[in-house]
Amino acid sequence: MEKKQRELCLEILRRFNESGILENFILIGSWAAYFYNEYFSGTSYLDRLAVKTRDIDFLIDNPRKIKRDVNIPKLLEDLGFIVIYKGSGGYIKLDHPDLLLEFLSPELGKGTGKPIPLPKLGVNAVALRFLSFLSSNTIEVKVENFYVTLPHPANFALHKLIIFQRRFKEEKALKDRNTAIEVLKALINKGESDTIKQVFDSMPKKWQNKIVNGLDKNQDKNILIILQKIIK
Amino acid sequence: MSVIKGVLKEELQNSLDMLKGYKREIVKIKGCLVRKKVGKHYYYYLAKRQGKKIKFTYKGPISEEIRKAYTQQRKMLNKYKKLLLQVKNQIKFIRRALRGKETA
Repeated sequence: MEKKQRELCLEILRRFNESGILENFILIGSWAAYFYNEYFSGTSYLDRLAVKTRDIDFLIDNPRKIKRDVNIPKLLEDLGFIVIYKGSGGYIKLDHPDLLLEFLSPELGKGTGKPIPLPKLGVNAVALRFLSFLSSNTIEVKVENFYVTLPHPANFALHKLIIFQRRFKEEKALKDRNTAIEVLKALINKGESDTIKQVFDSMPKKWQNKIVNGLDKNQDKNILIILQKIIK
Repeated sequence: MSVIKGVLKEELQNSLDMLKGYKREIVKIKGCLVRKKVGKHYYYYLAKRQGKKIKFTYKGPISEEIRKAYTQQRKMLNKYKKLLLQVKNQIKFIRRALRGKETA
């Protein structure tokens, strides 16, 4: 990964921390996988998920919990971030040649297909299914002098195994599956097979079946063998 | 290889959106604050290029605060121009990579 990109990511986290909003966010996506390096230190995990886009995604589990007024586009303006509106719903993205910032929130009820406004932050969030599964079990990783919240790697990996089946683009599905298998392997190497089992057991039966059937349908023997070993 | 190609296609679209975004921002803040002395007083004009001509818009005597804001804007303009160039290079690079032959 480029040093410039990493430095920019750290600067964003520093600013969020200084303005007191970092605690409202859970870092997800490929950057979460990057920060797992700290969690897996001492095992063979090496963030081998090298194929990553520039997206940096922040999950806001409960937008109503945000108390501080911090205009994020203004906060990051001097770094060169610009606001980009996407789609007919007007999703807000903050773009920079090195990083693309996006905010996500769990989709509740039937879902409206519209972004969730976050007036206190001057942005909005894309509502997506299954995200509450990521926020239900989190870990904190120390970065410099502050902590970044990440989904527990087991939740992260199993979530990937659900969503890869919902992807329209084949390459994205493939990327999700590769990421999931890397993280699952690292967890097993760390001796956390029980945690994987616990998290899997905590999932609704429908989701469990979705994972197993999806892997079976795609003849994904690698992941299926790993999962079956743990689940049994 | 298809993963890489897919990621590149997505990145290309992102960069194209960004290109539009930076161009829009640059147009928004383009212009330079010019000081002119008339008699004993200084008056400020916003100089903006419009095709071959440069149009001066009278701003009058302005406060220190506004002057600082214009200086800051100038800095941002330079930053955006630099980033725009970076995006253009990224687009060139990605397009070249997408044209490349796949090997087994």
